[in-house]
Amino acid sequence: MPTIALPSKRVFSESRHVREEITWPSGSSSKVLTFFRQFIAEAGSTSRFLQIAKTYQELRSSLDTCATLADNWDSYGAAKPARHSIEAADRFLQKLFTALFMPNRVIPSAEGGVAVYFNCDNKTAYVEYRNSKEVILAMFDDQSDPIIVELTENDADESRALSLIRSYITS
Amino acid sequence: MMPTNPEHSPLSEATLQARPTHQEGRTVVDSFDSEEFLYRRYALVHFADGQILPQSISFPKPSFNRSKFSRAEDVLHVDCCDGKKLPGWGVLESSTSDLCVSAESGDKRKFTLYPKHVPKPTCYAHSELWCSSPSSEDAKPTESSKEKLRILLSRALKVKIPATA
Repeated sequence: MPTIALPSKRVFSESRHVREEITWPSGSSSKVLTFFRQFIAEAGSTSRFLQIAKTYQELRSSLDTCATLADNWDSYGAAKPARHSIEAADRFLQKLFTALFMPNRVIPSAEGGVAVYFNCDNKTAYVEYRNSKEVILAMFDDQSDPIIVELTENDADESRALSLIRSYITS
Repeated sequence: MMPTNPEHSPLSEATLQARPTHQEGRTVVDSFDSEEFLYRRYALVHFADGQILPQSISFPKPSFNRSKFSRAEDVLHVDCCDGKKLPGWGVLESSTSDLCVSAESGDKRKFTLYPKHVPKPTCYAHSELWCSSPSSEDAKPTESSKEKLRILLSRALKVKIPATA
């Protein structure tokens, strides 16, 4: 599975010497203006990446919390999320991070497992990794009949899920 | 308007700490009014953007308390939680008719939920949503149908007592 190698806790743990990377412009004012426009655009892009990285760390933290649950955590007899469910959700999160397409939350499922959730306006999508090794993709809004796709934990199905969710959420 | 609870334990009228009605020899009451409410507890993790999430519901036979023999807060009482204390949890409600949802499978079988009174010794109001198909009163829905049913149930459930934890 393609991944970006990530430190376990912090994406940027060392300070970066940005100033050394900058070649300051000289010459006409239009060149200077162009330089600063590009500089600001690049800074904005970097900021968005940092936001996504922060979201990723928060979701990993939620997943860690799911991993600490005990049986009957929902008081209706739910099984705790199995280790393979947590690992499968973690792999999917890494794939989403690589694609810079982050979900909104990670929650435990009363069916036994964990779900990765996406919301945009009135549209919702989730991928639920079950302890039974079933993987369910659901996409729905307030009104229409939910779309359900049964998947597996393999890499191709994760890519398919990502593609379907992105298409549904952003359409 | 919320239904009244004429058969509730007399203790409940005297104090908010009153226990839910125990079975104590009472028999099963099969019929449900379509306007009777069903209650279910939930934790804050399963509530987002003003909606309860389908992950709060599990199959088969998700549990509820029926309002004919229960107040909403009874579902948080230790007698109805197998002795477990759940501070900060909330309560969901929906009318029975709104919870009797249906989903069709890929092979066109229709699965429909219906309420069944299944009393417990210390929680007489305990009930479950069972699933029927054209060939069975206790059917196992396909995975896709089950997921649709979870989503439809989560749409029907509204917050009665908000969770804080």
